[in-house]
Amino acid sequence: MSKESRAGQITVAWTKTRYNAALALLERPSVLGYLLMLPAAFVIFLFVAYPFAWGVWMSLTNKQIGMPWSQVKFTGLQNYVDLVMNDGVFWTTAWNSFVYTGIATVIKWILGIWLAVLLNRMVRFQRTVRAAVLLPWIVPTVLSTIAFLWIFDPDFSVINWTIRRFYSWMGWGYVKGPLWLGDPTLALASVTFVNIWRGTPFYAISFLAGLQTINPDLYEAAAIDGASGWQRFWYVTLPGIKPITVVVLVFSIIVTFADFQIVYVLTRGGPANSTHLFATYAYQVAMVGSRLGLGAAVSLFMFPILALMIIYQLIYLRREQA
Amino acid sequence: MAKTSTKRGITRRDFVRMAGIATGMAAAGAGIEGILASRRAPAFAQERSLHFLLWKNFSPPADVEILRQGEEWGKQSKVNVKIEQINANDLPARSAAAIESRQGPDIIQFFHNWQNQYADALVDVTDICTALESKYGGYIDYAKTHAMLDGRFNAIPHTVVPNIYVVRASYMKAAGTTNWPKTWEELRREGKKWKAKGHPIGQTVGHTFGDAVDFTYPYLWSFGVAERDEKGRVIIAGKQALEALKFFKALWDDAMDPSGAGWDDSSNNRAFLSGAITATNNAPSIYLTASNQVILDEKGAPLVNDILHVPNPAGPAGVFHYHYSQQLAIPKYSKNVETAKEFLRWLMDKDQLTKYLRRAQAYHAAALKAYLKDAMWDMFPALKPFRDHILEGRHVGWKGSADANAARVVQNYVLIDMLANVATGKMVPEESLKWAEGQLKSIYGG
Repeated sequence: MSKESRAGQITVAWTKTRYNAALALLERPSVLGYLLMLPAAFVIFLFVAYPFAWGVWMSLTNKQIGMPWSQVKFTGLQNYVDLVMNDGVFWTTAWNSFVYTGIATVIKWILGIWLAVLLNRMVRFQRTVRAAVLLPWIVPTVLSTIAFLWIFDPDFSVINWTIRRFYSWMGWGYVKGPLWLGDPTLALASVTFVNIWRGTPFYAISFLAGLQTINPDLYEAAAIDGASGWQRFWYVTLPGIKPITVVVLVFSIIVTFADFQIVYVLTRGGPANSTHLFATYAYQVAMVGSRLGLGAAVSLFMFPILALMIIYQLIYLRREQA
Repeated sequence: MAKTSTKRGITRRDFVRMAGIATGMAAAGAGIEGILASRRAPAFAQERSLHFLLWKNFSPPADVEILRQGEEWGKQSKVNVKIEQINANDLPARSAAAIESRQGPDIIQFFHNWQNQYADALVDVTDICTALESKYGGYIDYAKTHAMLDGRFNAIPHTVVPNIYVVRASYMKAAGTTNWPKTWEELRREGKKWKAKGHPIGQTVGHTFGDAVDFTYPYLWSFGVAERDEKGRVIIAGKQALEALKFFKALWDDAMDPSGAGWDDSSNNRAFLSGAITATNNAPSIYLTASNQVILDEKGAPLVNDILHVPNPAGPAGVFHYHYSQQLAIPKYSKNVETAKEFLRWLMDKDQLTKYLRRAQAYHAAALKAYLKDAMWDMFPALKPFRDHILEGRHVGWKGSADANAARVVQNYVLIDMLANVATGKMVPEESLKWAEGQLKSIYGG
């Protein structure tokens, strides 16, 4: 055998060995799993982790719009301290965010379950009604909120028009009607209402999916044991949809807490800052008022709260899976 | 040593030689063969482009005119001009995003002194502005102050939107008011009667770019209130400010429409045109809408015949107005700085500016003083009072400079919220003043 052909044989054998080794490596779930995850990890890094890290860095600087990076200074926690110690709007914003999220979540939860139970019992026109219920969730938020801008207009509001007509009909004279977006308390209530209107279908459809996984035998057994309607709801329905309730609640709290569009379209945080949420105030400070560092700090105040919600959800889901 | 060929960019000599071959071949009728022989694609003059961002005007014919002017200049200069118009309340965020990402429009319109927040990112246009000044006899003071920082123009003062009181004469008369009140105290007294008749004074103190600023600043100035002194120190917490706030609460409760706290810039227009209010501080847009759309009043007569334009009432320190300026800036990131300058020079030329202002139906005045004598004001006699009070304005941030922080005070609605806090009953005047002082100090420092 010539020297060349022997060398060729060795090369072929070596290539085959390497190929087999690579295949064997791919057979291992730990390796293949990570490989398949790589594209998703890359996307998450690019669109979530990197902007987040950038935001954290920015919140620790005096960065302003248009300021050259050579002039940007690291200021440590100064922005956070300024917000907590010197910014009156920040505390109003924090309070509004908790009130908005708390009230909207509780009401959406109650209405969502109620609607889901009704839809679950409905026999006729089930598909049509389900599609109709989803409409507020499907319509782009800005579009539906512009409609609410008219509904809440003090002079041209359909609600105030009805109230005025009613007063006139009763002979009680003229009344302007509630100042939906002009009174601080009513303005916060109005934006919360729009959030509830928009978010309830999501709860209802999710709970409906949960209801349909409950074994009907459980209801039969409960009925045979003499359980009332309320008892069946409390001891069968609620525990049956508990897993989906946790997921829906956590997801909804995160989205509601970080809400922006409804407030921006209806009030831009006014009147007198009574409807600012973390997202709208961060936008005002950073994008309109050009203080990017301070704005990043405002938005990052949301992070610990939202992170806790996500951690809770993950722990709960793992426990359920176990 | 063997000679090796290296990759390199095309030199000027190569370019001239190949262009010569291609042109010669083409001229000799060689056509496509000639181009092939030159071994290069034929060179065409690259089309220039320009992206201009501005607001959607409250006087729609102005939009038609600016689009026409862009098209006309584009054709004659062989530039593809793209004019983009958005809601004024969205301009700050849109321009901020463009400035920070260093891409976007080549020319951006700014209101008040917004652009001073990113003066370093804007092209110095002092050469254009000084040339215009010497040609047309100078700018209106506050328009010039808003466009300058540290001795240089970072934007070209374009127009000024004047704001005075727009009044329904018949509503005033029906309530027994014969003359427009000369002081805030008189306005409160007479306004109380108007409100009792169901037609109060309409005024926004909401989060909106124009009317809220146009009222708040001159109202406070008329009480002798300044947010800071000449050295930039916050001096708002004085007895004048407290007096202004206490009086505003009384004025609001007695004479104003309480829904104003939630209004934007278009709300008072709608309220006025629908007969809900007697008076409001506004630009000429209410009159123009009533006129252009031939809106009729309750008696079926043209509403324009019932509209008066009158100055702001006086406070203890006198009569003051605020007319917001509009200026045009070129961001440094633009790849078309020279083209943009060329366009702006043309746009500011008398022929174009006169047409623009007239097509806008005197909705705005030019930032150059010479235009106050323009025949336009005789064409729209009902709007002459706007011109007559146009020089009475001041810049934002007064007594200090109109710097970046003064713009942030406007953008964060600090002084507007100071009034809104007391109007809505959220705070008593003392609390609101303390709150505003804190907000101002957090912006100005100190």
